[in-house]
Amino acid sequence: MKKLSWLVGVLALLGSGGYLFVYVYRWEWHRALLVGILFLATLVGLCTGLVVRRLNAVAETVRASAAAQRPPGALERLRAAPVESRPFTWLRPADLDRTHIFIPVLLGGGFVVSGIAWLVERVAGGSARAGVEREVADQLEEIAFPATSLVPTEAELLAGDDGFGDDPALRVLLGPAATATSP
Amino acid sequence: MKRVLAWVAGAAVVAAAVLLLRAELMTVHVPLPEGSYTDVVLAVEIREDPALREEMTRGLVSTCRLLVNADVVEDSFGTVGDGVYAFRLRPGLDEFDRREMQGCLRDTRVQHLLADVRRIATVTPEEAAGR
Repeated sequence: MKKLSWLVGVLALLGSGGYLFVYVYRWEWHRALLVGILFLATLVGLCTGLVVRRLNAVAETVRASAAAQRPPGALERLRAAPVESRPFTWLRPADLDRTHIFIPVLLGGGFVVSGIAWLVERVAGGSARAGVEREVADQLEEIAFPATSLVPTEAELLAGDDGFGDDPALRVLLGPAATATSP
Repeated sequence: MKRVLAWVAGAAVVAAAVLLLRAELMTVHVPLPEGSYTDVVLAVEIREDPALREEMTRGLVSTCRLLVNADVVEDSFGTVGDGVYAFRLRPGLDEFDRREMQGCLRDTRVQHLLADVRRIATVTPEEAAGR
């Protein structure tokens, strides 16, 4: 059946290709277009069949080679093999002189060192905080604003209209209003 | 070796076919004497009402004569027999235009209409005088 299909496909390809040539030769473009489409479809179908056939052959080869290389009785051998379970082998006294102990010791040492560092940080923070706060408070007191205002209020200005004109620093603080009212 | 020979033979056939098509499908124009004309006899079969056969044939001829840039001579279109029509084109068609005209008339340009060119010949004034 496969051979018959291939035979029909090849005959269709040859026939459509031949008629395509003949119709083009006769200037019969509509017929040539129709036969050309049939030719292309047959060609694509045959090429697809060739690729599929080649892929099937490759798959068969791979399957056959895999079956030939597989050792028989793998499951039985696995079940017959002794089961050895040795958890925490580095804790065994016989292994203490080996490097197996290095990593657990390293991990434990890291944990201990982290605890010590945390304790030191806490002690240092607690002792330094009081002194630092006092120093900051002293610095803030030095730059704090005076209890009394730097600028006279409007009532004071009205009361002593010509009293502040002699003080240039005060005029700067008062701004344009003081400049306008100054003599 | 056989496979190589088969490929070479196939390539030679394709090359020969392409060269043949190139020679046959040239659209060169061969000048013809003034006053030449081309007579065409056409046999037509249709799958429609036979009363429409002449009308469909006229439509096919009108389409195809545009390809060769020739006009159908007035009142030259006539019925020669049952389903056979004849008409005259001016100016006359050279060899390549005749091939194109014949291919167009035989092609499936009009649905349900199949035409066969019984005769297509170009007549020069000298040939017409010698008859």
